[in-house]
Amino acid sequence: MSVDEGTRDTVEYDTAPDVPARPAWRPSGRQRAREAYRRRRTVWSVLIALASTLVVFGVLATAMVHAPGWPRVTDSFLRWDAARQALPDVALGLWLNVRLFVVVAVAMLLAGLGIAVLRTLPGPVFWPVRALATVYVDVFRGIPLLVLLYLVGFGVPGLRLQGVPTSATVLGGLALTLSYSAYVAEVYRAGIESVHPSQRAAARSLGLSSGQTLRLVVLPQAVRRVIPPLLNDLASLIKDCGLISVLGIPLDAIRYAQIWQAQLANFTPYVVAGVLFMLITIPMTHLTDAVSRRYGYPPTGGLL
Amino acid sequence: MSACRPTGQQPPLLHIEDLRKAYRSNVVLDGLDLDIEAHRVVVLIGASGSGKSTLLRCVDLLETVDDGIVELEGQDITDPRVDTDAVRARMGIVFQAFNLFPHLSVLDNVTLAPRKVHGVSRVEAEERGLAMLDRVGLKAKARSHPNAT
Repeated sequence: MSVDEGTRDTVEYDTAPDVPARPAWRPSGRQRAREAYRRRRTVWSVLIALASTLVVFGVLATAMVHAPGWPRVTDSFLRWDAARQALPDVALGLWLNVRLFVVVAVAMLLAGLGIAVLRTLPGPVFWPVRALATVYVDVFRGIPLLVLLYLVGFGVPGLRLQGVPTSATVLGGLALTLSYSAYVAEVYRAGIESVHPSQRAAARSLGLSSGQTLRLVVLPQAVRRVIPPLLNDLASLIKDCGLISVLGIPLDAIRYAQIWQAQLANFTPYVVAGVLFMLITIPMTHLTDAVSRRYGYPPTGGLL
Repeated sequence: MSACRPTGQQPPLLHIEDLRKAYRSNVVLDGLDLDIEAHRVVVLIGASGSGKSTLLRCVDLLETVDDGIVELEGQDITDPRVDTDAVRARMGIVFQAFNLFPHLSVLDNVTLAPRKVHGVSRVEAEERGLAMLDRVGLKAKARSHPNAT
């Protein structure tokens, strides 16, 4: 190997004994036959899957439509005119649900992460902090959400304290955040504990402090690993945002559906609300799935 | 291409011919030929990334080859009609990271395939497993669980 002054950027390394150039690869006849066989097999399995799906759904639909009470059910749940009357109000209410969802989602993700970190702080010094965080999780995960909504929604304003918000929407959002942050904290904690101790040891051996280790090595891996269960909780949260309707005043989608149901003596408005929620949750979960596939890591280990 | 085998001779245990495997534009194996006779101990040596693991994965059918054949005892196992589970029942592989199952005891790790794939009874499999573990000095750890790595 020789390096000339003028060609420093294009250093060429000697290669081992010259390998004669192979002709460009073309699949052999054998390989083409294999690929053709695989294509045929794929087409065949898709056809079988399609046919069996159609049969199963056909049978289920036929059974439902021919049920003795089907006409009555369609009349109380699937009335087109009732749907059209209720739709504008229910959609308006959904806007409140969506705004509430965004605020509560951010609040619970941050609060949950904080609590999870507090629960995993090491050493005897942090014992009270760990204990408090544990109590928080135990209490707010233990109370049924509906009870928590009543306690916060009606109990907190009942204290008649200065400066405490009395808006049912804010208090409902607070109750949702308390409950969901406790759940999410446990998801984060599972993620933190799933990071192998050797990762922590490797980070500490580089001289990173325990806080830096958590922030720069453990949490990035833990958070990516728990994205799928977190998405599950987000999908669940957007539906539970409809529960604030039990506080009476917030005119969200479910509350409007309730009002129209009472007015029309028909359950179709609830179906409208359900469909509108699905229009949000289904694309949301698929979008976030795609995002987590893109930014997730392949599973560690399993090297050959 | 390897030369044709003399007729009437036993086929080699493993016969690889013109094997090709590429990951997108990265051609890892290109026209690889290899014959391994029964009872031979063969060592593959090469730089990191030279395709040793890829070759082993192709032989164990963990990868779909892009061209060429792998024959095990004269049977083309790269044919898509071949039952991969049946082929894998006839060969063994130890991964670089052993991939022991952390939820099973050492003895259960050893006897899982004999019992579930080869239909050996639990008593017989455990007897053989314990004998093998004894040979490598692990009999005392038979009921322990492997360290998850």
